[in-house]
Amino acid sequence: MPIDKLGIRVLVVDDERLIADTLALILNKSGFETVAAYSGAKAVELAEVLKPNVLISDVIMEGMNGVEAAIRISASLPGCRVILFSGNAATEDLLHGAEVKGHRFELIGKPIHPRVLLDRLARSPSIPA
Amino acid sequence: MAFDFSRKVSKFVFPDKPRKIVARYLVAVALPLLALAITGPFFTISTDPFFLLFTLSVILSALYGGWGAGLTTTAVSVLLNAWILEPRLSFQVTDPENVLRLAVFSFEGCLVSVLVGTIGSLQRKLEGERERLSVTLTSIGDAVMVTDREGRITFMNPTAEQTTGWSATRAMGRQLDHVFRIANETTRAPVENPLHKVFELGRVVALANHTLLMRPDGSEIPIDESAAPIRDAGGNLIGAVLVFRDISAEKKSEAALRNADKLASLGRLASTIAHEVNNPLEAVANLLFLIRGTHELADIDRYAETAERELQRASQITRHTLSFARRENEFGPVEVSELVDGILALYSNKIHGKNITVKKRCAAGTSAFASKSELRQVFSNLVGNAVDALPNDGTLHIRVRAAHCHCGATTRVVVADSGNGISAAQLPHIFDAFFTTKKDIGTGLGLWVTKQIVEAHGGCIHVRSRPGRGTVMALCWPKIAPTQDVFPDIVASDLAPVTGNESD
Repeated sequence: MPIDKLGIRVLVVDDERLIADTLALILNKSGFETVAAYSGAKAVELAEVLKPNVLISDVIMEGMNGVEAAIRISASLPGCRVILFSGNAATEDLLHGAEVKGHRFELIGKPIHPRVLLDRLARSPSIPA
Repeated sequence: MAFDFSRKVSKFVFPDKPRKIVARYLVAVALPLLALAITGPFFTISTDPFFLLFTLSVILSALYGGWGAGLTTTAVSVLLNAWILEPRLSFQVTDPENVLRLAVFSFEGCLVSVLVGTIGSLQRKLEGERERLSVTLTSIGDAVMVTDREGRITFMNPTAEQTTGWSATRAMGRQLDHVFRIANETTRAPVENPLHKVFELGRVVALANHTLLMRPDGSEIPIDESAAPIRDAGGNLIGAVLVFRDISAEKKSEAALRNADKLASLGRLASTIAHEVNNPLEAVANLLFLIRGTHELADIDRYAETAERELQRASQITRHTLSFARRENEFGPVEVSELVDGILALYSNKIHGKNITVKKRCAAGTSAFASKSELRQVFSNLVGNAVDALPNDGTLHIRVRAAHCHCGATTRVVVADSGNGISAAQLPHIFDAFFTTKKDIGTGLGLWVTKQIVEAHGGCIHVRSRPGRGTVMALCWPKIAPTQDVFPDIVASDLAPVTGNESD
């Protein structure tokens, strides 16, 4: 069942600015209200104001990593859907750490094609077992 | 042989253990009786002024049975003479001249007994000590060789025989240089015998590691060695002792650890590269997607241009990866500044991510004589550590210049970070294997391998660090091979393609 895009707010986080920017542009053009952040800390800050429905974040970032940011944002916005993407092997350890704390996030491997991401957004959340 | 004969005589006269008491005193009593029996027919006792044969019997008795036996012989001799002298067959001596003669003989007999007896017991002690030392030297696991002042071998223990491949009988008396031939492990240049340094400096000399012992059968074994002077009681240099050890087993385990570090750093490298390549690929995918959905030519142009730049970035990364993978184990002059640039390019993403300022000062023409891949491993470890240690907005200093160090004309490279530094408690251990401050990602082998590589090339590495202020790693790398002619198989034309390939 397709989800109505109108009014869906998405926060995109990646310390690789070009990726965050292009992804935000693509999502905006597809009808999502999207804002980009370039660090985990900035994302947490923006989420307070923006109250996004969906958080799409890279995992491995300097400073606050994606998992940490997702845990904080989920704490204040329990309804927020979290999609993490990563191309790094260390991610599994981080996700396992989050699971221990009671959080299960969707994970997509990098590099991700925007088509796949849009399809994913259109479907209801599927959390890896 | 003369030496052996005198040892045998000495052993007979002064046996290791005292003889049986009965034998000693029987001889002590029998000798003066024999002297009397001989004296009777040939001399007149009363006119023999020095009791010649009796004096001889005291000496023999003391030699044979020690000072007690000597004294007994003296006493028996005095009694026998008193009995024989006028008035005969009585123990009385009336002639004052004879009394004086007997008194002089008694004194002389006592003196000889004590002197000879003491010498005998000292000799026994000395023999015992010699035996103990010889057993100790023979049974210890380290190889020991002793030379005289001229460097000729006077002793070698069984371990030394095994290690050098020379039998003691063949080696004895030869020059040590001839039997103990050593070379540098990496460069194979002959290394100066530590003995010469000992004679020159007159103190203990420990050799640097990475020494190979060349055996007569053509085999080579890595050894660890030290040499010390031998002085007589007056402090004069009379020889030297060389102690060394076969360290093949240690070398093997070190090699295994070095391989482990290579694998770990390859693993790290692979994951870094995957990450570095994925980013531009993802950006390009996004840009292409945007291009397809846009009709504005200006936008398309802008997206395409950015995509091109990203692809260039990806290819740059793969090019650097190739240079890492290339086999470059040949030794030759390596341009240090170029190498450092390559390392910095590899870490560029991390450096930009942390907004680190790199201040690099390289003097022109700074080269190092090295295997390129090992030199790269060293700098990759040092720069990687510095980048990890640096906080956001920190500064990384890299300085390359020519310098004179105690290890010769070198290229000195300093990598300094303004990070958290290393605590005084940790600092002495940072070059130890398996010591790491990065528990999650470190193997504890990086700096250990770094030091190994630097020292194997004849260079040195030092660290200074202050907690909260940062860490400075300084290494000196020899500019040229220790001895140029030990690399007959490397010629300039062989080296050219290696450097040529680098710039393509």
